[in-house]
This record gives sequence, structure tokens and C-alpha cells, in this order.
Amino acid sequence: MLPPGFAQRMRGLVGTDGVVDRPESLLVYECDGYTLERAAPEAVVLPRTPAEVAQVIRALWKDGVPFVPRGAGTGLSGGTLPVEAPVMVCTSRLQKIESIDIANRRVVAQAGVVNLWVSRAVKDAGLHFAPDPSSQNACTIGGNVAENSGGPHTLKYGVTTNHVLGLELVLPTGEVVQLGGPVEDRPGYDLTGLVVGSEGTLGLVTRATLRLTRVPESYRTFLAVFDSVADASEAVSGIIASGIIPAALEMMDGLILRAVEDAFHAGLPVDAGAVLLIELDGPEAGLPSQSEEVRELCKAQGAVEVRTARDDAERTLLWKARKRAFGAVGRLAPNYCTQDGVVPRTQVPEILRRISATAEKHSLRIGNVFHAGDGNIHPIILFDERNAGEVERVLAAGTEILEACVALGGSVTGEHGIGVEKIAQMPLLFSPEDLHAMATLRSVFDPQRRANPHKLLPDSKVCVEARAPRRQAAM
Amino acid sequence: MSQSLRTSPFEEAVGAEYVAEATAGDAIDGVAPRWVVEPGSVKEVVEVLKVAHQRDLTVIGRGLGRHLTLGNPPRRADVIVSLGRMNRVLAYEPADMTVRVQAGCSLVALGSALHENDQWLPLDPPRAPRTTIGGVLATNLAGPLRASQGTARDLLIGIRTVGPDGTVVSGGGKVVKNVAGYDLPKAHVGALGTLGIIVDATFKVRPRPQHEGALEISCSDGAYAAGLALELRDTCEPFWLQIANDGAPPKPWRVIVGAGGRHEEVVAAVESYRATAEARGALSRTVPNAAEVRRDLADASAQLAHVVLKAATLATRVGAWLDVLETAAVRVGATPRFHADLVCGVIRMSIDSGSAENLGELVAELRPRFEDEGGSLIVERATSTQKEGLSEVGGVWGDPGPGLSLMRGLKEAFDPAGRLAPGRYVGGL
Amino acid sequence: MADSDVRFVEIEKLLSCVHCGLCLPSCPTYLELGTEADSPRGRILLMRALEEGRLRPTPEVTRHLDSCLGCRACETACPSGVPYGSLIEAARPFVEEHRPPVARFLRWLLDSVLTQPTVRNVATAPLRLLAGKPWTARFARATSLSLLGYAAALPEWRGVTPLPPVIEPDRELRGTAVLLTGCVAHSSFPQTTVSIARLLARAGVRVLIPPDQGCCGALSLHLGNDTRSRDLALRLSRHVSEDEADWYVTTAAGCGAHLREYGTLLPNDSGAANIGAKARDPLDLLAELGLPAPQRPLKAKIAMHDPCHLLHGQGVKNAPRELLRQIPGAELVELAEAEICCGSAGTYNLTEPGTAGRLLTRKLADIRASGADIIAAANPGCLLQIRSGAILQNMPVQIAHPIDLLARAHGLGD
Ligand SMILES: Cc1cc2nc3c(=O)[nH]c(=O)nc-3n(C[C@H](O)[C@H](O)[C@H](O)COP(=O)(O)OP(=O)(O)OC[C@H]3O[C@@H](n4cnc5c(N)ncnc54)[C@H](O)[C@@H]3O)c2cc1C
Ligand code: SF4
Ligand code: SF4
Repeated sequence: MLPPGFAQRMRGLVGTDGVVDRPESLLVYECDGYTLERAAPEAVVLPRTPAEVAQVIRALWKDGVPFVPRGAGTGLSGGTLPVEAPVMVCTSRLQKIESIDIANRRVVAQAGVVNLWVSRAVKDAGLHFAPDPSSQNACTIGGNVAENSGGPHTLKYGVTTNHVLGLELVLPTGEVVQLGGPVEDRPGYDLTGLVVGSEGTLGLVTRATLRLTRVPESYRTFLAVFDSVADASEAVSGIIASGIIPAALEMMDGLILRAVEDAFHAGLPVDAGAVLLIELDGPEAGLPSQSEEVRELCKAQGAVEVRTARDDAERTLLWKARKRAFGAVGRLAPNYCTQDGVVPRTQVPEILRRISATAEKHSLRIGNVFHAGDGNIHPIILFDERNAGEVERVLAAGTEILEACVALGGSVTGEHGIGVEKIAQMPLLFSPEDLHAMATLRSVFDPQRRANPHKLLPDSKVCVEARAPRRQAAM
Repeated sequence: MSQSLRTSPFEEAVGAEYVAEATAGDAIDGVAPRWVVEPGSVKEVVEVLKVAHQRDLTVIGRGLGRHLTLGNPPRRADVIVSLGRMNRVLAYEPADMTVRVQAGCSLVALGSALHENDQWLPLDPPRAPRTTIGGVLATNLAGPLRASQGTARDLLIGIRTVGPDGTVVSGGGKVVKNVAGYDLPKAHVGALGTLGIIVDATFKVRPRPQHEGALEISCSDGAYAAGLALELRDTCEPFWLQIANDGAPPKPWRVIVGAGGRHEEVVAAVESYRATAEARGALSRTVPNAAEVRRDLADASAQLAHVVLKAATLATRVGAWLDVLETAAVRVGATPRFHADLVCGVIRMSIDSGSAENLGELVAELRPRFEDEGGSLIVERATSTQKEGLSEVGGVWGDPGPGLSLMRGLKEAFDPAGRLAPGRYVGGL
Repeated sequence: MADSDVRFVEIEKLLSCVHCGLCLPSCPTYLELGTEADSPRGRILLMRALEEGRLRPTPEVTRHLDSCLGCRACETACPSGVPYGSLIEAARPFVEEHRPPVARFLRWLLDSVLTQPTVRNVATAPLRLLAGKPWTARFARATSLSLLGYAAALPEWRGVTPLPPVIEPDRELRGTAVLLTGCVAHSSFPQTTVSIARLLARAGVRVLIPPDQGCCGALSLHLGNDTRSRDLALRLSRHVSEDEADWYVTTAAGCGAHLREYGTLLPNDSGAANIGAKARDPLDLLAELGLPAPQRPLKAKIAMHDPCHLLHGQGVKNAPRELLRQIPGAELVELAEAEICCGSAGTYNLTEPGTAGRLLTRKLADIRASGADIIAAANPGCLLQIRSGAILQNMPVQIAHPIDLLARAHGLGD
């Protein structure tokens, strides 16, 4: 329950249209991209400036009210689900790119700026913001920072943390701290690095100083077609072993291929077992020989065909098919749910084998489209919630797959975060001492657990509503 | 229980042969420790720290001891935990491009293991042959390769540390992409062992470039060199890019730009750099042994002098700062030499004849000007007397910025009694 | 209501939304307001809750559905192929029934005025006196009255040029097009209709212009009056459906997009199906058929605004750009957020002036930043909206239909 006069006070800070407190309008905040669990907040506050964020959070602190930060709500682990935090503070009005310094390759962006806007703003200077999650035309910089987001190009360019130099953080008390900044090497602990990936549990990020990267001079994009995922996996290992670091190395299996082709008509081979989308980039001089090598390596691993994108349009089409693959999967079944796990790259064939065994065991269809170069798998489990017992089988299969990832030396999340979804799996990865250390870290920033409580770290709190899977998006 | 001088409290933990009474050479910035212990396993490290915990002894971790000059003089140093025996590569999976290695392993030893598979960990701090994994992590020192490869921060994917009470804590994992939980490894990078003793670490490794090449361009002065370097950066992403002013007087300024990769890539890059230089009318020459020159540059600042100042700024400000630094150094009677990484905005100034007073004076004059611009000026190397002279002007680190109270909170949370390298870090932590 | 009953749309269609949020930043109202309930994903969830009976159509719910521009930018952005346009169109009549009587009456009135030529002519007569006069612009600025701004944005009233029922091609015959003269479009911008007829003829098209066409029904549907909309569509299809036509064209992108839906709107009418299948944007058609090189130069920086119903409703983006680029002297410059709605959106600027005004302000800021001399917008609604804003803010920029610019370059306009 919110204290009396709460909404009124908030309106005084953020304007009359900056507070949502009617139940009908709150309903739409009941979940983000992770839809298996749902709970609506009691109020949503939409500050217009970083300074207003600080005022809002200070007021929440005084009232003793915990809050949940929310960006675009594309998160896939339920990070924005309100769990004993009645107020959501949404950054969607913090849309300003505050400064662009081309010569020093820096941008300062407010938290609600959409990832792609940054790259768009500096495109003419031949620069971009390298992290490119598949959700990049919607997800916010604040969300990227909170989740330490990756994308298809992280194999070569790293994830968000490698491109964030400074943050403005509003602590749960409302105090504003500047961490890092455009100049590197500030002495002291790497607080910026600790806040990146903290899923909103250390405070709310209002601004970020980002490093820009030069857009590669040239690209070569290939589509290598294989009879089986096993052959394709071997090709991945072959390419890596050859010393080439592709900018991206993505795999789609047959099931996904057919759905994608249905949706986008990108000319994909629908009868293939798997394809690899391989991209090389860099200075033009190095590309011809690397391309030749990649083609040979694929052929040597049994590629039936290796196509090269002839021009930008074809490259764009291939990427569109890849980046929007999940949407296309919506056409295969009335419901689907995606997992995000990681295995050491060499274990990709093994995890794929176990995934298909899991599928068989639970009589489910599971498709795979993922960042093969990083070993970051995204099995998509297809189902129909109207079939009795299917939801339970889906959940069981998901858990089995994650456990297999851990058993193979991997992790339960490569980019979507723990949120509420994977809290139960944290002890598989970390000892009680490790988890205690994380809790200690948290208490430095937020001793009272006011910022996004009951996320990321397991605690006694069980989740809100019974799990009731619906359709779910994925990466 | 009384403790005779002969038997140290650590004998039981690591065995008598691995406990020694400290000698003068073990002193850190003039602070003499009592014991040097050399645990051979994580378990032994745990035991050592438990003993230290029980007896309220302060602990400083040490690799091969080459980088202990970084940091303020410790308030106390009872035990040095030397990780020299923990020097094994624990797991190396070339196809996964990851390696897990003990903290006491030297960069060179690790390098040769990786070399067999044409891979490397692209970190090149000064004195790499005598630098351990623990050392490079605790100091986050980097060399020319940083311009394209980042620092230890960017390559570290997992870490294991032992806390002041002997608790073993792991963070991260062994896969290249992982966002489960907080990024704890980041806390220890550059933390000078003040949050825990690093016992092992997992890195992502990269393929070694098949070829390297470099071009050297003579310049009239620092500002010119920086201007040219900026253009070179925008010509073609450099593998590394250094501005140097380190020869015998009249100390010519040079820009040296490196390329790495396939043969044809390297040739093309070097040619494009040459074209950029020529367009400016600058004289350039191809450097025949690029990799060696790169390694020399990594070592240069540390080898030249006992005092090294490191300034951090933005790329576009490097030229102006080189000027300011030079003038200021000359004014206090020093002969400065410079090595700057334009891409990262890092300038190292080595001065030979620094006395305690003039170093303090120099720092007092320059530091606030860097800090006003959001940059920093730290004293990376100095003698203990010189460091003492800095206490009035913010010590070797200067102002860590508005995050200090959180940093203090972090330190207090992970080392409540302040027994890990107390006083060496920023803000007296 | 039993669970299996459909209130206004099959639940399956709503279920095709996977709640991924990828559509959010493409939605003008979300961009401007930042509230989830004013985003495509939020509205779909509201519609689903309405359909499932989880929510009642309270004014709060209606407010969010009303604030939807119907621009369908979200459809372009959605990877899952959610048919947002048809969802909201299905929801509108449902919502309409639950509106308070006064609001319903006002919307009915607006619909009647706009879609019935005789009523419209009477009702808008005073506007004609004001239309396009410089003093109207000054007066509008002085009073900051947006209605006056619209009046000033209209071309000066010179009466409707009657077009002959058939215009023969200038060149070898490439095909036959039926030109729909639209309701509001033609009466407000008669010159543009003439221009397109002449341009098509120049491209080798035989142009048929059936008299007394009436409205296509797009506006009625937008106002939630699906019965009237269907009636109008039926009337039009009876009136103009021609076997010999290869294309149906209109200068109003909003109508053009609506025509494409005729097949689904009137599933049992073969005339409607014929129109739906052959509806074509005239600029797209011109770009495909090709025009001789334009002779008259136009030294200006031109930026394109993408009308929602052209870009998202019909997937046309490059055709107008290609055509304008051929004009000697013309330089095409980028307009940031060219694909974001200007706030006009059918009758939106009349029913939701607040949000419409914010979107217009945003558009004008982008226009100012683009440095363009001319903004080309291929839809009468957008023209009026942007032009009125430019007039009110006294901006020295010209807002023109690309068809008129082209006609002039080809020596066909005035
Ligand atoms: C189709 C699709 C594809 C995707 N592809 C990828 C992919 O390729 N790679 C990838 O990494 N992820 C991917 N994601 C997941 C998601 O888009 C990312 O996690 C993204 O960074 C979330 O951003 P957001 O703005 O939507 O954050 P939200 O979902 O709103 O929030 C996510 C978390 O961040 C916190 N948060 C948000 N803003 C702030 C702030 N300002 N300060 C503090 N905490 C904050 C929230 O509390 C929450 O815990 C995908 C999602 C979808 C739907
Ligand atoms: S039609 Fe336009 S305004 Fe309506 S939800 Fe879609 S994008 Fe938003
Ligand atoms: S409408 Fe499409 S893009 Fe928007 S949330 Fe639903 S599925 Fe995603």
C-alpha cells in the first residue's frame, strides 16, 4: 500500500501526466518481455529529467517505498516484475542524447535513449555503439547497462560493459553519484563495472558515457548450409581454431529456418539441417584471404553450400532474417518460450544433442537459433498452452537444459540476466560464500533493498503469481 | 599462547620451508613486513589468511614483486603472501579460447603455453616477464596493446579470491559470455589486493596476429605528434599507437603506430599510415621488428626512471597536456620523457632527477588541472621518501572522484578490519 | 457473455503478440508520452483484456485506444506479423458503443460532416473564405488558433476543377487507372488530383475518373463507425469497380491504404475485392512505369516526410524519393524521424488535439534541423497538419505534395 497522498506528491515532481495510477493503465506494466510471471505495480512514475529521477527516488526513500526501474520492458528475465516494490520508475521520457564527441568517440546518453538511436546519431561520422542486442531498435541504454547486454557481434566486440565508461547512478536514498566518465583510468575501484549487469538492484542509472567504435571498413557475410547441426558446430570450431575471429557466428537449425523463410522470404534453404550466418569485418585488405579460408573450412566440415551476400541489401536481408527470427517463430506454434544458456564453445554439439534428447523426452518441439561463436544457446520451446500438462513439460525441459549447461561448464544466462526467472538456478553456479559476497556488494549500495528487491540474488521470497506461461518473446 | 621468534604462526599453514622472516628487500615503500609466506595451494592461502585473521595481522599479496611500487605506502605490512608457487596453468582449452590460471603464473609462462596454439593473452604491462597474473590484475597495468585489446578488465571472465577471513569467493565463470550475478571480478581489477587475495583467474584469449608491422614518424614536438596520432587513429584502427619522446637529448618526438593481423592486412595498414604521414609532410620509416619495438615501448617508461607519473585525459587533449607536463617538469629541474597512448588518452612521464619536494610540487601544480577536466594524475612509481612527500597533495592517487564513499563502503564490507594492504589504495583505503 | 463468444475480434489474433516490445519506439504516441498504455504493446494488451472481459471499456481504457493514431508504424516494426491495424479497427466500434452519449454524438457529427459531400460543403463554406489567404496566416499566428492555422494551410479556394471522365495517355498505352478523387482530399487539394491525372497520362496511363464517387469510408472507420464505413465502401465499389482497370489510385495515402483492405472489409463483394487487389499508390506506380526526364529545374533542398499510410499502410518509401531526385536542381536531404507521424492521422488532430500538437511540435523541430526548403508529404492530411504548424510558427519552409512538385517539374502544374 502506498502512503496517502503519494500520487499527488509525485505529480508535483514530475507533472500531472507523469504518474500512472489507474488500474486499467497499470495493467499493461504487469510484465516485460518475460511473460511467465505477472504482477502490476501500484503506480508508475515517469520522470522527464535525470534530476527528476533523483527527486522521485529521494521521495520514495523518505516514504520507505521500494521501487523497480524500467526501461523499454524488453527484458527477458522478468527484471521489471514488481515484487514487493509497488512503484515503477520508468525511464521512457529520458530520451536525450546529451553530448556527442566525435573526435574522442564518446557519447553521453540518458537512460531512456534507445540503443539504436546512439548509432544512428553518429552514423555519419563512421562510428557506432558496438553492443547490438537483437532488440536494439527498442531496448534502452539503461536496460543494456542493467543487463550487460550482448548481441550477435559480441564475439569480436565484447558486451555492454566493454563500452561503458561512466554512469550517473541514483542511489536508493536519492543521492546522485557520478561513476567514471569520458576519461578512462580514474583511480579507485571499478564501480562502473560493478553497476553494469546489476539489473537495477544497486540504484537507477540516469546517464551513461559510452565509448563509440568505428564502423568496420568492409564486411563479408556468408550463409553456410549444412545437413546437420553437428556439421555446423564442427565448422564453428574449425573457424575459431584457424585463428579467425568473425564479427559474428550465428546458427539456425532447420526448424527455425523454415519459420524464418516463411516470414521473410530471404531465400534460405528450407531443407537444410542448419545454417551458419558468418560475418567477417575489418579493413578490406584482410578480407579476401579470410573469406577464402572460411569458405574452405565450411566446405571441409561438409557445408553443402556457402553463399556470400553480394551487396548491402542482401546482407541486410540475412541479418533481418536472423535478428527477427524469434518473431517468425510465433508462426510455428501458439506459444513458445526461450532459454538463454551458455556452454564452452566446444560443448555446443553436446548441448545441442542434449537439447534434442530433452525435446524427445518431453514430446516437445525445440528450435535453436543462437550465438554459436560464444557458445550462447537460445533453445526455443514450442508449445500450446491449451494442451493439458504441456506448460509443466515446458518448464521442466527449460530447467533440464539449463542444468545441462551448468554441467558442461557453462552458465544459466549469457545475456538475458537472472531477474526473477533464474534465481532458483543461481546456487547451481555459485557457492553460498559467492552468493554471500554478492549480497555484501549489494548492501554497499542498497543496504535496505529498496532498488528492485528480490531480483538477481536468491532470497526467501517466492514468486508472485503461479507460473502461467503465455507466449514469450526471445532474442 | 606465546610465540617464539623462531616458529612463525604460519608454519602449520604452509610448512616451515615456505615461511621466511622478511628481509630488507621485502619492504614495501619502506614498511617492513615480518613474514613472507609462500602457500602452494588455495587451501594453504585460506589457512594463512585464517591465521592472519585470528591474530589480526595485515596481509599483502605479492606476485614476483615487480609492481609493488604502485600505491601509497601501506599503513602496516605484517605478512606478505607470495603467490610464486601457485604458478600453474589450470585449464587451457584452445578451442574454447579460454584459460584458467593460478595467480602466481607469470605472463611469460602463460604466454608460452598459449603460443603453442597461436593464441595469446594480449596484455603487455611493463616488465611482463616478471609480472604475474595476480599482479597484472591487481594493478590493471597495460601497455601499447591496450589501444586495440583493452586491459585485464576486458579479458577477465572469472576469478577466485580469498577474503581476509579465509573465505573463498568465486565470481564470473569460465565461459566467454555470462551475466549471472554481479560482475564481481571487476571489483578486484586494479584494486591492489585490497578486497581479497586473487588465487586464480579465467581469461578469454585471442588468436595471435600472424604478422606485425609498424611505422615510425619523427615529429617536431608533442603537440604535432598528438595531432598526427589522432589522424592515424582515424586512418585505420591501429593495433597500437604510441607517442614517444625518450631518446638522448635533444630527445626527438616520434609517433609509432603498429598494425597486426594477416600479412596483407598489415602491409595495407602500414601503407595507409604512411600516406597519412606523407600528406602532412612528415618523414616516416618502417620499423623492421615491430613486435620487439612494441615490447620495448611497454617497458620503456618503467626502465627509464624511478619516477613515473601517469596522466589520463581525452585523446584530443593529449597534445596540449604533453606541452604542459613538459614545461612543468622542466621548471622543477627535471628532464621528462614521455610515452603516450593516444587512443586511450594515457600519458606516462618519466623523470630522472625527482627529489621529494619537487615531485610534490609538480603533482600539486598539475593534478588539480587534470582532475578539473575529469582526468587524473597518479604517481605510478616513486621512492618511498618521494611518496611520503606526496601525502599533502593526495598521495599517489589523487582524488578518486565522487565514488569514494561507495569505495569506502566496498572496502569496509569486504575487509571490515582493514587488514588487506591497508592504506595503499585510494582515499587511504 | 460466455467465454467462447467473440466480443470484437478473435483472441487468436491478439495472441499473435508476443509482448516483445520491439514496436515501442516506432509508435509516435509512445515516443511522445512514454506510457506503456499508449504503446502498441500496451494497447494490444488492453484490447486483449477487453476481449477477455478482464477490463471494461472505461474512459481510461478508451482514452488510450483513442490516442492511437492508426498510423500502423508498429506493424512495420513487428517481427511477429501482428495485424495491429485490423485489431484496432475491430476494437474501435466496440469502444464506440461504450462511449458516453455526448462524445458519441460529436464523433458521429464529425463523421457525417466529413464523409458526405453536400453536408461537408455547407459546413466548411466559411473555411473557404479564409483558405490560403496571407492575412489568415497572420491572424492565426496572432491568435495562436490552430483551427485558423488549418484554414491558412489550405490552398486558396478557386473552386473544384471538373475533370473529364477519361483522360487519354500522352504516350503508348501502359494500362488503365481509375482515379479516386477522395472526399476531403479532392475538395481541399483539387490541384493535386489534376496533377496526378496529367502525370499518369504522361506515363502512358489511361485515366478514368468516374463522377460522384463519394467517400471511401476510411474516416468513418477511424471514428469507429464501421457500419457507415462499410456502406460507403459498398457504394464506392458499386460505383467505380471497372473490369478494364489495372489500378485504382488516389492522392490521399490514407484512402489508398484503406482501399487495399476492401477485400477483407467486404468479403462477399467481388467489386470490393477487385479494388482491394488493384489499389496502388500513384507515386509508386509512376516510379515503376517511368516518366520522361523532367525539364523544369527546382533549386531547393527537399526532405521527405513519410506519411504513415504510405509507409506503413502501403510499404511505399523509395518511390517518391526516386521521382523527386530526377528533378534538375533538387537536392534530397534527410529528415530525422521522417517515419514518425506528424499528428494528423485522419481525424486525430480534431479528436486528440493534445497529443497531435505534441507530435506536430516534434515534427517541426526535426524539419528545422533538416535545413530543408521544401518538405514533401504525399498525403493531404499531413500537408495540412505540417503546413498549419509551419504557418503558426512562421517557418520559412514550403510544404508540398510530391505530386505537385513533380507536375510542376514536368511543366504540367501551374
Ligand atoms: C526480441 C528480443 C531480442 C532480444 N535480444 C537480445 C540480445 O540479442 N542480447 C541481449 O543481451 N538481450 C536481448 N534481449 C533482452 C533485452 O532486450 C535486453 O536485456 C535489454 O537490455 C533490456 O532493455 P530494456 O530497456 O527493455 O530494459 P527493461 O526490460 O525495461 O529492464 C531490464 C532490467 O534493467 C533494469 N533497468 C532498466 N533501466 C534501468 C536503469 N535506467 N537503471 C537501472 N536499472 C534499469 C530493470 O529494472 C530490469 O531489471 C532481447 C529481448 C527481446 C524481446
Ligand atoms: S498505429 Fe501508430 S499510434 Fe497506433 S499503436 Fe501503432 S504505431 Fe502507435
Ligand atoms: S506488436 Fe509485435 S512488436 Fe509489438 S510487442 Fe507485440 S509482437 Fe512485439
